[in-house]
Amino acid sequence: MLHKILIANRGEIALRILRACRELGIRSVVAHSTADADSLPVKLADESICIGPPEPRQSYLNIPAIISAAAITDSEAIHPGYGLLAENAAFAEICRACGITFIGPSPEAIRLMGDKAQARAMAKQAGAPLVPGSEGPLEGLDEAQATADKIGYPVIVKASAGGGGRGMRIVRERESLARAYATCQAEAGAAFGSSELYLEKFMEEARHVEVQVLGDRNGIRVHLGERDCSVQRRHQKLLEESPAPAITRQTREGLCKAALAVANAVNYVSAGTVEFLVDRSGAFYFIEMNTRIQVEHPVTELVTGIDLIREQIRIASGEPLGYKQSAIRFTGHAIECRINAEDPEHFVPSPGRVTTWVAPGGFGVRVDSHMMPGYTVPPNYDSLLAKIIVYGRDRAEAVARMQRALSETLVEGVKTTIPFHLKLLADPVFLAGEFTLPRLEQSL
Amino acid sequence: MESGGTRIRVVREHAPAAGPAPAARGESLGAAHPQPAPLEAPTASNLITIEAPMVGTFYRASQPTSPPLVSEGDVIKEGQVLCIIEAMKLMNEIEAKLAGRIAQVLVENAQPVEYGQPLFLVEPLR
Repeated sequence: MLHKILIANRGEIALRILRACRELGIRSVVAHSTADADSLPVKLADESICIGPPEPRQSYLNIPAIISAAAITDSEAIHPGYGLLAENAAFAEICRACGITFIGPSPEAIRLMGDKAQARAMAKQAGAPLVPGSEGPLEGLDEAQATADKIGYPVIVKASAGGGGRGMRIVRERESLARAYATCQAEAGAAFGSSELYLEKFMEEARHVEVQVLGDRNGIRVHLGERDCSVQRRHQKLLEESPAPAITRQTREGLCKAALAVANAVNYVSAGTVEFLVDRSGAFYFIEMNTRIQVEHPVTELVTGIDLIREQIRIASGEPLGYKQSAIRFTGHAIECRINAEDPEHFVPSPGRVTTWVAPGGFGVRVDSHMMPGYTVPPNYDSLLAKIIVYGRDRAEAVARMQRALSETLVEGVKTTIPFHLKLLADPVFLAGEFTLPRLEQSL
Repeated sequence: MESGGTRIRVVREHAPAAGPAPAARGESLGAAHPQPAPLEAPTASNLITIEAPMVGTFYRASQPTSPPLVSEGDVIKEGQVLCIIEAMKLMNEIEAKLAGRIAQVLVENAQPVEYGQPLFLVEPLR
């Protein structure tokens, strides 16, 4: 088992990771910027080390600073959390070259799945159904036009080096394709360092359903069920739940089987998520794979009873998974609401000092948050304040419990998205389990 | 500050102008001990702290056998290399951003330092 882990992240996920370390008897070191020097994870970790100023480039994204911090604290492993360097193949490679265990998959798997066009090709090879689209990256506008003509509009042009909702453009008619193509290329080149694009049919009225997978170093892989993440605004998830409501057992089994096939195709180790779009008929299509632990991992933890961060750490130490697919039980229903420091109607960031923070509690309520009264939300990072997660025996109970939990949560000093969540939980389409991706944008 | 002896923190408090001795790595915060007065007469209040611009290992010279680049009492020029901070096997020369006299060296050779950690106290020269 590992003895000391450097946590190269911040906020609630840094706290999450250090909690798992503490339960495993592993020493934790939080590498932090000056802006986070007084944050809760820094206070609670066994050690902390300041690696740079607030700007992410000079701190949380500063690979030499993080490696240097690991070296001088004698940390044998690094947990990258999510975002930041979690899916940076070069960082994973540098860790490996320096003899530091990167808690996650191999650099090769990160690189392969990070190229979204290549990932599509891998998934296809693994037998997963794909959203109709281009075969790998587009060679030019001509191929884009030919592909779009073949599959039919609307289409979506995507950057191969993008993902997570970034670098994409919907094109509804033929006349707009050339300009969208050129703009995407330019944006992708600037944002991701690669102007490579691919194209897919744009599926209106689809739901986002993803499958959690876990793999150990001996090639044992399991799935931990699916999560529905269809409540999104500008590709940012706001609410997630497991199991996905209103999908058939057949669709569920198909999704999980396809996810495992994709994970097996890249010899995936550690925790990962395979994302699909599901249409009204229950047909599903692979879109991408995320080679990291995700923000919404707690909903899976609550319905399976498995501590995913702990499993990541055990796997990284070389331990076998120790159980088979058949041993995994799925019980009840879990919902997570991401509480952001944003205006609940327009989602404009609301930075400032949190003067009051009272977290909800009671039966079936879990709160993952780095909030403290007096905490100032730094402007340099995302606006996530807290994840409130509830468990219920069924969806109705979980919804009611979330309503109770949100109504007793008190945050003063900044605006939060809690009023939005309360409205959502009363929305008849949401309650029917029929919430699709465009609905939020439409109803705003 | 925290109670209990099991927690180690590499961070340093920003040294006040009078320059108390640095806590050695591993000591809990607040364990500062008194320090002899700076070499010059009571100009202690205008001492400038030079902080580490990166995390790594502090060295007083570029070779183990060389004499220190600077010592207490030395007059330094702007741009003069004061020390080395090694990060990922790269030796980074840390340059003075002002002219002055080294009043105190706050860290020891081969000591790990974090971003922002005070390294030197300098009395600026007019």
